[in-house]
Amino acid sequence: MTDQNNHSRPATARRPNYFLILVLLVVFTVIEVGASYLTGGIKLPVLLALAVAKASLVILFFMHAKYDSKTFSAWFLVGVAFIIPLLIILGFS
Amino acid sequence: MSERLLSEAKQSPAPVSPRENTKLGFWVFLGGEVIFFGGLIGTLILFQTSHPAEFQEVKEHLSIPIIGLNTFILILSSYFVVRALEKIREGDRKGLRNNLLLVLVLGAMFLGGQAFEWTTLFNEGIWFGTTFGTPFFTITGIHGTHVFIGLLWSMFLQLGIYYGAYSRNDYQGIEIFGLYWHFVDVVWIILFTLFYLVI
Repeated sequence: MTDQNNHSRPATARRPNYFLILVLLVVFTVIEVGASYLTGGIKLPVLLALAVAKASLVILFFMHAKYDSKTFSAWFLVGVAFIIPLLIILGFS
Repeated sequence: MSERLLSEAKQSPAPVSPRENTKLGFWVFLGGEVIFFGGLIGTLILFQTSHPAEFQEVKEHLSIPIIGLNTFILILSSYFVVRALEKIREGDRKGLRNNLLLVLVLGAMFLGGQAFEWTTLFNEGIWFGTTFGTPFFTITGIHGTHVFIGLLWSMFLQLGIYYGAYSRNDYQGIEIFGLYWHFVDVVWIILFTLFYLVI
């Protein structure tokens, strides 16, 4: 590893409670499985909301997007911004 | 005016230091992966909306409890990746090694669960070429390949640990691996919903 890659985290860096995030992800997954047995128009929005909530927890806390420079996650969001309209158009086609 | 500018400067994102260029580059790569998987998911939506009856028929062949367990395994592996990163940030190389070993085991278990699911569907006559099978095996296959690459990567990290790489002040290799693994987890979260729960 080159010296350029050497770094240490500032002592003041915030640490999320990773175990709590894990518990939330598991709880959301259990709710999701339960919601899959729903019928009617409510099923799809509930399942999509839970999936988005889980994905956001992983990106924000496990991938540290909440704490790192926003320049990192901006590149990720470019991809998301590019693809979401396409998926919406396909979903309604 | 100057106070307003100062306030805005304080709120603006922290600049990326040169030492974090690798991380920035990897986030750009992940942005590309979002578009790649997004395109695949778009194909799935097209199949699903144009052949809803065929997808509904397959539902009884899918084992949601087993795949739910598989999802839990992948989420748990993501937790051990962040624990591995925390350990090396504290200078605990043994903790790093052990947590990454758990990631390796859990990732292999996930792939085992996928293999079981594929075999079950194959034995029930669902394979490439069917309306459900084409997007299902293509997309979960590509995702599984990503998991497999992650497993190879984690073995490479173990080799690095064995030869003395990584320390409290040098952990970017672990951080980049973590970004990859978590992204693979995010993709599965979306696929799990779309393939198993929505139909």
